[in-house]
Amino acid sequence: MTLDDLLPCFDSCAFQHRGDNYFAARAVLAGRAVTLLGSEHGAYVGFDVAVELARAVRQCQDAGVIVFLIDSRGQKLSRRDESLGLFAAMANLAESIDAAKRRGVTVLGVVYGQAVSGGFLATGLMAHKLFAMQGAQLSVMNRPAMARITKLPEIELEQLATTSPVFGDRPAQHWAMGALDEVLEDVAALRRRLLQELASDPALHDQRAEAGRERGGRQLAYSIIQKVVNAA
Amino acid sequence: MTTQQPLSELTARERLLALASPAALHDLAPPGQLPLSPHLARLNLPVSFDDGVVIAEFETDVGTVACAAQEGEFMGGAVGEIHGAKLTGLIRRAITRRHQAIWLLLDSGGVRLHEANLGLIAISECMRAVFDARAAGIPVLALIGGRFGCFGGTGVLAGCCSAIVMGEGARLGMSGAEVIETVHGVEEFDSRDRPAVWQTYGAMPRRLAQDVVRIVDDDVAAFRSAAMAVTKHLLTDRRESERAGPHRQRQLEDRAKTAADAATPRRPQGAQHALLTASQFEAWLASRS
Repeated sequence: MTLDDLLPCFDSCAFQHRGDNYFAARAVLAGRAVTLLGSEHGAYVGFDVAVELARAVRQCQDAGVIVFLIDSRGQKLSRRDESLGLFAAMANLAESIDAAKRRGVTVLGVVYGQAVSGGFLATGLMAHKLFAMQGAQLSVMNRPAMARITKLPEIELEQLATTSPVFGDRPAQHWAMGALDEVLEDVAALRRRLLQELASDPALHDQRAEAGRERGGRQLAYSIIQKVVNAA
Repeated sequence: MTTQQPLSELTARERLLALASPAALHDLAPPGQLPLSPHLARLNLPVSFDDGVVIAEFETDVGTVACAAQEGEFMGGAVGEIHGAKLTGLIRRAITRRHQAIWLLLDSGGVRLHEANLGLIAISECMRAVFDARAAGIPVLALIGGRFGCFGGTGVLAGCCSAIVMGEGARLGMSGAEVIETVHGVEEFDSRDRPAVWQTYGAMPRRLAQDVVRIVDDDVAAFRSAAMAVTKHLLTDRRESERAGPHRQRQLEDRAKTAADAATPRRPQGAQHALLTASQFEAWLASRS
């Protein structure tokens, strides 16, 4: 699915920036102004993009709406970006989203292509609610690189990915772990879901661990968090 | 009569005991209380009773501090489901019990790839818990002094804290030199080029860029006194987290602009940004040995 496939979800959309690495647009959804931010064609998120996205998030007015549309293969791997402090730019992006949520901005995320670790951690995983389109792929790292580092054969990782959500990249598996709120079949379903979110006040409380336990994809996290919170 | 006790040479538990001293350490997850990682067991990999992180509380002269220490010797300190849940639990506990500060001794390569998605989600939960703590007026410090550095999602987590204190030999970043070299070749980054690695990830360039508030010697007492000083400073300003964000935004925008100017041939003098030149770095390195 491409960004252009997704845009009919909105009543109108005017791009302020649409380049190789990221885009920013003002859209309208049933009379509500919505800021669209994200990337397309699996772009890598580097230092400059992370800083620009955070600036756009900080500029969003109180009680506004931001929708991140995500297709990214992760953080940019470069010496220049590391020298500049990519970790700090990513953390700043995450913090800008957290601050926006605290001042009443509704922040939603939609994975429509790939979502791989770095940029995903600082965008979609910080949103109030996160959705994925059917067919999207979510992962920590591409499989060949993962095989190299874990020293597990690629074929074994592939088999593990089908039987367990731990290594899986399908949206349904990420829903089972509590990371996603819903897997959406098409643009009409996305529109319905976004409208539903705009009609209610989003919760700030992180409920993903509970969701992961209830849905069976992440059995331990919630009980361990609770055990530590309540330890004598 | 030597009193220096290098933090980098201690285990995670020893680091916590030493930081807490003379107060007693209240271990929040003693051996046997939490399950062992079923994900590692399923891959026939060694497991550890603490899953590579020790969590505890202790009393200081400003009140109770919640503290975690990652064990770099176990799976490179990487974050799995249990490891991450312990960190998130510690932070949420500190919020509900109104502890005075949270200190995270980070020594980790980031997500534990053997627990892949679970590790990534866990780090995301830690990040949100850190922001909750800061919004509640509790300073969260990242103390980076281990041998494994602080990379990947853990590097981002460090950046989410109120402040970072680094040991002089520590490293901090997102993708390490080996990863960049593997993907883009030795021309992009020679991971054996030690000065280049330190100039990119080392405490000095991070401090010069103001991503780190203090550099300390590799010594437990030095870490403790720096952590106390930074904590006390942050406690005098409970609303620091509200201003910190916009301040850092400006800082990063300036940095991006300086780097872009430096890359433009018309303005070569713009190259004088926060990083050390090779000769400055060599001089600094020589002064430390």
